[in-house]
Amino acid sequence: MLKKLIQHEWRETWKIPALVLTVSVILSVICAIYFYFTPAPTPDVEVNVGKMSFFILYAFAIAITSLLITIYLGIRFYKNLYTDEGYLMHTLPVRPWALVLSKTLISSLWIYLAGILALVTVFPVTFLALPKMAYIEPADLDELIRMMTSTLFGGRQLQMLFFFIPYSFASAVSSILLVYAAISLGQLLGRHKVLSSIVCYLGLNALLSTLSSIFLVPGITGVVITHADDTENFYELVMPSLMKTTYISSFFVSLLLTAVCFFLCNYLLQKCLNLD
Amino acid sequence: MNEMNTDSLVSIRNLTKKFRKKTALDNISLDLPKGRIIGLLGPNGSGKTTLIKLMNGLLVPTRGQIVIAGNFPGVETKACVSYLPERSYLPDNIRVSQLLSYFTDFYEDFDRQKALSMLDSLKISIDSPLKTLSKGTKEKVQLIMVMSRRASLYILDEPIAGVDPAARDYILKTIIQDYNEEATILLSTHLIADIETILDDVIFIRDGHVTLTSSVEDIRTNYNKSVDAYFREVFAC
Repeated sequence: MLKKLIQHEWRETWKIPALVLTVSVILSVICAIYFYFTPAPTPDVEVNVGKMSFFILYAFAIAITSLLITIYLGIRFYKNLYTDEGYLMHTLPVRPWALVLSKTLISSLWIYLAGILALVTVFPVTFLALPKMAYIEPADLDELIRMMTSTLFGGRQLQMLFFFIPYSFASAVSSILLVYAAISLGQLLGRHKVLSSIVCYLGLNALLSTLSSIFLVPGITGVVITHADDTENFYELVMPSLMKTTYISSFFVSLLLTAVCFFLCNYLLQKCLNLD
Repeated sequence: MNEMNTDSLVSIRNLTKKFRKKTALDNISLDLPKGRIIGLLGPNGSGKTTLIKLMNGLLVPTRGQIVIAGNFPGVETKACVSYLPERSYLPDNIRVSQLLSYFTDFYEDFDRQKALSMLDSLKISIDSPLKTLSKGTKEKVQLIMVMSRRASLYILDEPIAGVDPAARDYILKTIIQDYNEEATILLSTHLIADIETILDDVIFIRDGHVTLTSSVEDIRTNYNKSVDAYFREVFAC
């Protein structure tokens, strides 16, 4: 039954996320072509404000891709399980956990794809755009690119990808389950259920931030103390350690959050369902 | 506490459902036998839909229990109960063919050929997106899906409310012709005159209490009245 639920969930949800991702790819291609062919500024121009604004708008558009998809999938969860459509879904001979799991798997896949696609498209466009937005000496540009990759991957791209890929998937799963848990908690109130869900989401997010800090602070403090005098190897040693610590800590926070939110959704659907 | 009746298809014991301070159902106990068409009758707000939603696991009881074919509401009961809600639950973004796939995939007792033939007789194309269908046609599609199952229990909540007389006739004809005769039909309505002829038994419900369970025959014999006339007398304002 789970397989069938996943198949139906995919069939009913793929169009909107696919459209959003296609638009983001087209936007990236247009930006890449523009920045490739646009002339670089001369040494007397420090910053080209027009091109910088264009790039910022592009980056903002790509950044909200995941957000748009998450909002769409959250609304889909609410409509499908807690409005009239719920009369069909909750009378299917399947257990509540199967309903939650099928939706979580499909939604996580879309959010993960959006994240990966953003990474794959933003980086080439950024590298093309950097020398066109401001005058940069070629040697400085290489250093800038090295700094950026170090910030994200800690300088050791392959090693950090090993941490980044599972972390980003765990993060996608936990982020959508957080939305599902907030929506399910919001249904416990008799009235203003949508508003209650939003308040629950904000509350759970605050809780998550606190929890993340508790997990992250000891590790990051350890890295800072270990490399306190290592200013020369900041991008070679300190950033990789910091990023590795961040990915590992966040990965475990995401796993914990996933487990808590999944069991919460399942419990609320099983024991507290009161469909209007 | 009353003992469960093992011969019944449905046994309900001491069932109470409260919504905050409002008691929708108050300590009701009922047995629904197999192979009967039973009218669940009562005025608006009497608790009919609440009882039906509890039987389908869409609400959680405050107290008491429901047993359907030996199981509490859950996966096993959902596999043998075919439920038509009072509202349309059809998602707008799918086609009739996808709805057929839904029922075929999830209900082992769904007769796809029967559904296709009923859709064909009403000239409803399976390629039609549900959002393009009229409200009445959607209700018919929903009824066809529900009645195309070989279920043990059909629960139909207000199937004829809000539809024109011609559609009403079609719905009643569909219910009588197409249900599994070994099954029980629980049919809730306040439009008694229209359904009286197909009922075997009735349950009167008022303010969350069951006030009468009787066969239609007994009402006619004992009170010398139709069920509709007797209902009007009992529930007179």
